[in-house]
Amino acid sequence: MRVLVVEDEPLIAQALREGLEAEGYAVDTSDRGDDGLWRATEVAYDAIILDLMLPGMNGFVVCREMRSRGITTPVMMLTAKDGEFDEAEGLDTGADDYVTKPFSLVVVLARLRALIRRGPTERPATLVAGDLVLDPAERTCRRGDTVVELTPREFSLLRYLMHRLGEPVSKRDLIDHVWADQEMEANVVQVYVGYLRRKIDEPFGRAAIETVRGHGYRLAADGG
Amino acid sequence: MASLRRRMGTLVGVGVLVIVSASAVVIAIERWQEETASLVDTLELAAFDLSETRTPRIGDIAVRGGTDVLVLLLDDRAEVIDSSGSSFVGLDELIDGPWSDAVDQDTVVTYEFGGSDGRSATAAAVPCIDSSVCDSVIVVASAGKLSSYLVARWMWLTGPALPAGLGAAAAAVWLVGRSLRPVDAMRRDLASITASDLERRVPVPSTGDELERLGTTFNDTLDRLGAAVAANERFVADAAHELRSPITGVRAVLDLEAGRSPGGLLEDGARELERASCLIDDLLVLARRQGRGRRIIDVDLDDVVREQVATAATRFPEVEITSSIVPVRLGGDPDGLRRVVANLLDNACFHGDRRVGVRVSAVGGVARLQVDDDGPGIPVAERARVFERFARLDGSRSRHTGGSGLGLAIVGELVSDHGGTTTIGESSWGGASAVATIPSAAG
Repeated sequence: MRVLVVEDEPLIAQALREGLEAEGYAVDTSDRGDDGLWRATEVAYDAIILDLMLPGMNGFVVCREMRSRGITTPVMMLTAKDGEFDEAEGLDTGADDYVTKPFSLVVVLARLRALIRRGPTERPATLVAGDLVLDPAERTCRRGDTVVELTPREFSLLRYLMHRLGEPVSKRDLIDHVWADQEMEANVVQVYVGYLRRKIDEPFGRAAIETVRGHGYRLAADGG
Repeated sequence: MASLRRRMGTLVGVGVLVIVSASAVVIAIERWQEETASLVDTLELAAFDLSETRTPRIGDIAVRGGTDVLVLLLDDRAEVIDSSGSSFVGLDELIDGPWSDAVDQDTVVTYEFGGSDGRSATAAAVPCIDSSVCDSVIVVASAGKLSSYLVARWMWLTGPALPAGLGAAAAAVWLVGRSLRPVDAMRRDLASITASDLERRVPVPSTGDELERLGTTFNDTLDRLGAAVAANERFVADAAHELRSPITGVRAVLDLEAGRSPGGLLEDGARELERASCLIDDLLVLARRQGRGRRIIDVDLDDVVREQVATAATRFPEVEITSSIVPVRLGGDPDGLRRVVANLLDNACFHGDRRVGVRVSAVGGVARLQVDDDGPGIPVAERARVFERFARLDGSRSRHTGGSGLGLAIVGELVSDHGGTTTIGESSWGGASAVATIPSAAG
């Protein structure tokens, strides 16, 4: 297993190298973004650990460049959790996981193992119902040309409904798959379906989410 | 502002009324004198006319309204032969007047006298043409009282001035209000500018006067204040950022060494390092609280709480967390709200003994988050102080129990950024109960 560590802090790079080597990985290190990108293009690594703040080229750009060059190697981003960069933004650029500094070496190693086990990940497919489009990779939702802002829970609710397009979905299923909270009351689902309708249906004069009496809901395959 | 306008209005209104009244008095006195002079002329003419007739007629003697007129015919002994009436006030005094002497001289005499009731009268006497009929004719006109004349005249002149005075007062109120409007706008803006939005400026009126200079000065002060706050935030953020890299390095090294030779001092070191990095995180949150990272979007408080309860449950497996959560949506900063919930939960799990209760509810457009624990609680006297930065209660001074000392301060400040309040009370288990209330937009 060969891993590339792109990190400009010598102490962190050194500790990562030693920690990884102790686990039996072959480790290359790079202290510049542009150099890291070049190495990633030249060598087929099993995983890349990428710092965000790098001289030469920052981690987001490196990651985006790699993906645009067709390199699907799993990337773990090291970020400083100071609100300057958004998690979602990091994932948008194609990173597969991220760990905030200061991280625990144990955690980094465990997550790296999981990342390599999963292998290069496919970006999830875009979900479509008529002119209602949900892109799980970019976490965006569109109705026609209009971008609809959804809260995280609204997003996962719509995602699940679109995943089972045209089928009646029971409230129990929604609780299990969207909330994963056994003790949650069913009326919470009702409230969130109301939120969703107010965002994707009512402003457009549509009715994509149908109520299936005594059971649950169904997302119309044609988007209402 | 309103009272200033009222004062100016009253001042102008009263001023107008005083000036008009004073002018009215002067004008009335002048008119009185003029009318009195013309009365004498009128009476003389009337007397001349009457001297040619035999009967005392008032006829068309044109005198000013409200004036009693009396015509007397006297014989050569100054006895009244005939008169147009006898109800004239002060008639006796009049008849005893110096008429006969005057008439003897065949001249016109005018005589003004003040009656006992304060009235005055004017009389004109002329000899009769036919002395067989009468000796002389006297025409008398009471002139009325100067005081009542003045009152009448004053009312007549000042009456119309009253609405004028009120109008002037209203105009003054409007004018003052209008010219002070920029001040009011600046005051309103200044009042709503807090430390969290020092980029805002008050509107400066382009009037080229004191108001414009006042506005400019306000804005210059805000510029300096904003720069100072920004510099302070930048310093804390930079310092925290710079500290984080070596801490990450040291932590990775400690982890590495702990992997090789577990236990002992290395673990203590790692724990202390963890504390330092928490402190840095907290400092960053406070420094950036008002900074660029802040965005206001729909946040499902119930979701945030669910997520944080799950996190706390894995971090504190020995604590039983019960929750009662209803869907509550509010407009806010998702990172900030997550921090609020996380800090309250950490605090409760930390100080609680075995149980922590979380309740999310919404009443009348206000979201309410309550976190109870069964720990020792917080004495009433200390409850306000726990929201101060670096406030530590005596009981938690030891490094093992104390957090960064910023946890609740962060909660307090973030909640107040959302227009809410945080209070500490006593839970039903006897421990602490933290309650944050935040106005919710969507309800």
